[in-house]
Amino acid sequence: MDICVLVMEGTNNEAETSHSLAAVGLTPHIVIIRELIAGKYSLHQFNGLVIPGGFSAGDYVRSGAIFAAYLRPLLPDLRSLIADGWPVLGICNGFQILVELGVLPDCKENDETPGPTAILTRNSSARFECRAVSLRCEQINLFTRGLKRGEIIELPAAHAEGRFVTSTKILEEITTTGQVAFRYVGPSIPAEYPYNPNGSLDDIAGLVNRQGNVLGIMPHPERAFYWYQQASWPRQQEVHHYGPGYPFFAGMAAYIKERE
Amino acid sequence: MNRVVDINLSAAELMQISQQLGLGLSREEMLYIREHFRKLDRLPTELELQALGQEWSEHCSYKSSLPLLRRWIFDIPTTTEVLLSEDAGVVGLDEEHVYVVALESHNHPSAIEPYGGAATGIGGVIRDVLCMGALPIALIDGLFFASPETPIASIPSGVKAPRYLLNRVVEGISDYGNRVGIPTCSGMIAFHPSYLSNCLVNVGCIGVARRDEIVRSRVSRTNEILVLVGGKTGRDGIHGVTFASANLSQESERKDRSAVQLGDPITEEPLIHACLEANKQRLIAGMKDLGGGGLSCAVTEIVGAAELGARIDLAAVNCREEMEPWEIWISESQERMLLSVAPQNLDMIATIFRRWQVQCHPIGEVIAERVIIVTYHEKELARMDGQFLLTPPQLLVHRDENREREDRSILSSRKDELKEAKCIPAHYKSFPEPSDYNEILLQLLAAENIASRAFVIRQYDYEVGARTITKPLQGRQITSSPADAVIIKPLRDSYIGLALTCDVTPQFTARDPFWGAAAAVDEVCRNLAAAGAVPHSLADCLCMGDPTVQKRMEEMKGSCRGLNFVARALGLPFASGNVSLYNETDIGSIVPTPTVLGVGIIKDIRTSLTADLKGEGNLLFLIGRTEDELYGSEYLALLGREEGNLPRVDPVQLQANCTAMARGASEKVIIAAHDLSTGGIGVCLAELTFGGGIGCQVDLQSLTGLRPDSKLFSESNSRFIVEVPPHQETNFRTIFRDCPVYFLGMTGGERIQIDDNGRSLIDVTIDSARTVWEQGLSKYFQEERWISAS
Repeated sequence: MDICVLVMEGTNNEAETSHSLAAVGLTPHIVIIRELIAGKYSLHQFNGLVIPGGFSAGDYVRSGAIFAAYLRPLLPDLRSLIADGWPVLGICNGFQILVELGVLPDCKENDETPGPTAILTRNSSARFECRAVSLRCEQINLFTRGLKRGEIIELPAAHAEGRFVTSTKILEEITTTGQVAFRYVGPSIPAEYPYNPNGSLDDIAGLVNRQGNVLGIMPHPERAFYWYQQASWPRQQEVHHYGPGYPFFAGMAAYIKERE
Repeated sequence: MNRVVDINLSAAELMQISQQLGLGLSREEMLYIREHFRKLDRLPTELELQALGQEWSEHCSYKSSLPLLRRWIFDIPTTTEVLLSEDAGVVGLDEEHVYVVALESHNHPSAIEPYGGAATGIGGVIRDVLCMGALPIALIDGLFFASPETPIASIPSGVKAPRYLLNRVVEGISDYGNRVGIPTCSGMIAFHPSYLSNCLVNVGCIGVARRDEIVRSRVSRTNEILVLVGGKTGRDGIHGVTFASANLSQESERKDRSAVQLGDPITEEPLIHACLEANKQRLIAGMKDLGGGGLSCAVTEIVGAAELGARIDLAAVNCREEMEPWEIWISESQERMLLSVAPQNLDMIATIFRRWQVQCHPIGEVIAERVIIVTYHEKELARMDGQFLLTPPQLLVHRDENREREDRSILSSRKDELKEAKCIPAHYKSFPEPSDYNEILLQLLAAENIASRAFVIRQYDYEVGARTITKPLQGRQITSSPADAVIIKPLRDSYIGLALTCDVTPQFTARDPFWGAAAAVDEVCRNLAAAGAVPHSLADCLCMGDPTVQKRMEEMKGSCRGLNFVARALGLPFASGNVSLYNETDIGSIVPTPTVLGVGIIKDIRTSLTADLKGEGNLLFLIGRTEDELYGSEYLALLGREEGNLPRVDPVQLQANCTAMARGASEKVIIAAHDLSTGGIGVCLAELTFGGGIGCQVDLQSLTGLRPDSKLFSESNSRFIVEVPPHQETNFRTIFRDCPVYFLGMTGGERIQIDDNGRSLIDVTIDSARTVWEQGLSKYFQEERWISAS
């Protein structure tokens, strides 16, 4: 039940992410990427990987670019962790890193020539946007097994570069192979700003690989793990314990338990 | 390399030396230094003079303000447990934990280079909290600018346009705070013409620590090793404190840019991890952040606090570029901390910092004799008396009994004034009642001091860390009411919460520093109470003009007394504080600006209150007395009038109202609350409706003896509007039996309807009011640059 929470300088969501993992019975290990490169740890030691949010290396170049460059030599290890069926979760900056690595979207052309096939780029508003967003769950996988398909949940989003952009061909492929995990929802389709906070293509907020064990998502489930962390709790009548981010981690824990 | 400076000179010649070397020392100080070295029978070195310039600057020594602070701000009797007031204030939270508060200004740097100035302000205040051994968990900022409407033609040469400053300061805070991963969750922005040549950037940080993890800003014993950790030392920020301790001029842009430091959040982020990890393992005996005055001040103060000395080798400092020794000694390069470490723990410290790839260099040791010895490759550059360094001549002045008596008599006359004010009948107005209140309300909602700050707030990551329980914007996803205070949950396994806010109204302090400062404490308390919390401690950032001008010192005294007047009555200590003087140029001084940061405690975060109306058919009550107090109000500013009474503070009423509010929240009798501030009842009601899109129908008939415009827009202190479900009315009245309570009306509908004895004053749709409120300020921000998806 050991989960690698992979960080570098500028990653800054590792504490709340680790807390969420621990709260569902998993054992998070905060690993600095240099320690992985130096061989102090190996991805094979773990039953899953989470890349938390933040501004790795300051994200001055392009979000996730430096982190992905560090991680690229270890791509074979990451690929085999994924092929073995262990869960991999990239939140916000983590999602950007998975896209930069070419792990998401999970496309056929990527099998032959690995590299990025999409990008999470500067928000349409050209600003950092911190706000709660509504998401529609489009696909059931190990992370969303606690949700229903079509269910709408509210999660906090906070990013400057979350606009998903790719080619028409790739968009078609990820749509037909069911890789769109979450879409932003507003009163109209496609969702307008600020319901879609970044201008993401096809309202895409999260992607899952074909195998269903790698999830990348821009909004932050770990910031709405408990009921009282979500923005809308003061307007709700009933008091709960867990919030809409809980199922992501609970699903991960249940899945790993089944496999062991 | 380090020349000896001949100071056996005349006063005029000494002043030339002070100027040439950029020391910022006065005539008296230079003469005092001459005497000191005559007694020692030697001449000072350049490095020694530079060290004195740093340590005796207003910024580091508080030489002008300390007597006032001692009299009015420190040692307010309280039941709040204040454990320490060093680089930051340490306050008891629960049996096992403390919270830490720091509030700093970064005004001069931000006026010259707003992006870097604001960013490094954030970095510095975070380290103030960190050096107490605490985990920084929230940022709060108070920003002050001239109107973004200021025409370019009326902006003096060498001054940056307010709109530019506003944009760049917000960007600086956003880029630094978001990257370092500490949420910017509360704050304020105020506009007043006096900030044209001196914008103010006040930044606060809150941290949390276990009681046994608190670290002092002082060494423990001799032979400890002083270790410099964090970023490299460079030429940035040389003479930052002397620059901050003088008036800005037209030349500042050209001359003083090198005094502004450079910020790097990606060095600070791992520095926080490494320092906290080393502290958890109990490897740190003392810790101090390097801020104003660089190594010079940090070393002198960390050993001075323990009445010990230090021997430092500047050659051991890791520099970014080739530097003169005196530059290394006073550089204010950011992201650096000074640790005092027992020799046997040095290896373990090095291992931790290596893991986080943070620089870590032993640069000297603690010695028994109270002297600061600075060497560079074996060569001695300075040997200074530690006590002499820490005591500028101004602070040798003894307490003035007469002044204290005078102070006491002023306070009691203010109390009389308060009593008299209560008896003042409806105030004469020189103008007729306006015919259209709808138009006035809409104009007020769009006014720069009232309009929505959402545009700024959403550029800050206000919930990284997942501790932000009530957000700065409250209500439905898209529409929101402005929060009075936010609630954060500092501990993972406890429901206890901290409420955070900061406030001051320059329109009041400009007209009367005493009542303006008193109103600032009042507003902070009611912000905390409106969030359901009990006010617990305060911090102050006194931003003033040139202290050598008599009027400025009077303003500062008035402000300090005003703060004291309310804080003392409520038993609220100032756990931390900062003074920023010389916010003055040849076009004028800023108005006195005593920014107050408030921390409240809420036992269970799940009883936090927000400012958005929750449902239809609930009751609306006004708590607190509405006086005819329009002087300094936004309403009269709109009409271009100067008359009437300035809002005063009755601390007894404030206390009673706040206490009842906290109880009303914890017993869930109140389900929404908003404090009344700028714009009075009219604006407060409008803001309550925005978040939930739920309207209101109220009648102000229960407020007697006032003209309708005073009822709507008077800015009297200590007031709240609350939403109460009908079945809770009896409980509500019981809890508030000692408070002035006025029934206003009901929630519901899609309009904001305010009547007076059946006569309609205001009747507008929520949407029309919200739209002008949302657009009031956002129009001044960079044009929305929509990038079309490729």
